[in-house]
Amino acid sequence: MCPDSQLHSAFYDEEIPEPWNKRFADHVEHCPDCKARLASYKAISNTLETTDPDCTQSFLDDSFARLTTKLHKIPVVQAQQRITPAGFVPIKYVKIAAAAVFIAAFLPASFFLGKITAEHRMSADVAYYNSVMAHQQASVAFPPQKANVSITQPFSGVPVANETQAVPVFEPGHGIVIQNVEQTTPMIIIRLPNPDFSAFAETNQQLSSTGSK
Amino acid sequence: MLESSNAETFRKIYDATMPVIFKVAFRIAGTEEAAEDLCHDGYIKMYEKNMCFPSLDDAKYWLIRVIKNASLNYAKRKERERKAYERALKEDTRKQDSGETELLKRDTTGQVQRALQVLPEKLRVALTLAEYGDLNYKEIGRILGISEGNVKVRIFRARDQLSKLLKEDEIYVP
Repeated sequence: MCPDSQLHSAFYDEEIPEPWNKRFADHVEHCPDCKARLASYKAISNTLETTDPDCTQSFLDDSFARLTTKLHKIPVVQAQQRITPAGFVPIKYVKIAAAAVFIAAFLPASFFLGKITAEHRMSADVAYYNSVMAHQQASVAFPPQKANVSITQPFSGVPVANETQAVPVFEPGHGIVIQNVEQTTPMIIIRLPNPDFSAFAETNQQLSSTGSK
Repeated sequence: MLESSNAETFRKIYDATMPVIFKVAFRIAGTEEAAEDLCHDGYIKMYEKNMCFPSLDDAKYWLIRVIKNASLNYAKRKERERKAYERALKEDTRKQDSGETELLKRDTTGQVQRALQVLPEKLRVALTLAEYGDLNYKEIGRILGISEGNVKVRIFRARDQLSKLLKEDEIYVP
């Protein structure tokens, strides 16, 4: 009597433990039906093998080269601040222009308070931007610092040249425009829960200076 | 430990696993181009996640699992696309094949591939892993998340059905 048909497949894959494996082999030796079934499994393996895609060493090397190219296109980005989610408007920050804004708005008061330090200037900038945009619940993220973005080559960790990224930028007179900005460009991030860019109209003068190149 | 972020180790893992996973992906996804892309995606994922494996076998199991899932998703997406086109054109696009495609379809490779595609997904994946993965039933069960007994049944059914399909198509079997 022939063994259960499922066992043929397991026998073919050498998955039957001893001593059953040997007993099965002895049976197959004298059973034309079982022999034919195993032959059909062998035939399937052969057919699959002969219709396999080419997987030569040269293909593997070429494919690895293509894979390496893809890997080089993936920057290793470690950013403290992601600057493109909805509701955030990054504005190019230029230190000199910001200082000009500060001087125009706060120099007289600070002048009498004592020596002006970098902290004074930054806190003054924060206060200024928060005050002009308070009515639409905007808040300004400070200190404005370079986004901590590093782009390195795969495996070696060697930094690669700065690449640009397209970011929405407020340009007075033009509204929000897409600009190519270096990924390490310092930015001020202004959170606008309900963006209403008409509110910038009053601050055009100041934003114009911070947005200028 | 094998760290995928190390260039030398990465290449070692690639050399040891690519021939296997490429064939697995090809049998599930259906084309060499798609299979290569799917394999690349798997290696990129491994690199990005900075995976560490105790052995090459563990790397192989992980990659097979990732690429098997990705290939199945790809195959399902392609099937959905095909059906969508059929609906949009209100006809079966398979009947509009060019003469060249018809010739290709008569090719044994195409027939075997189509016969494999006819198999239910569970059976096809189990058989593919058994034929190409150089894996035993226990390892296949680990990858698929099923018992050894279940693996045995699936592979048996796959072989049985494939055997019938190939006979129906009168494919030359060496």
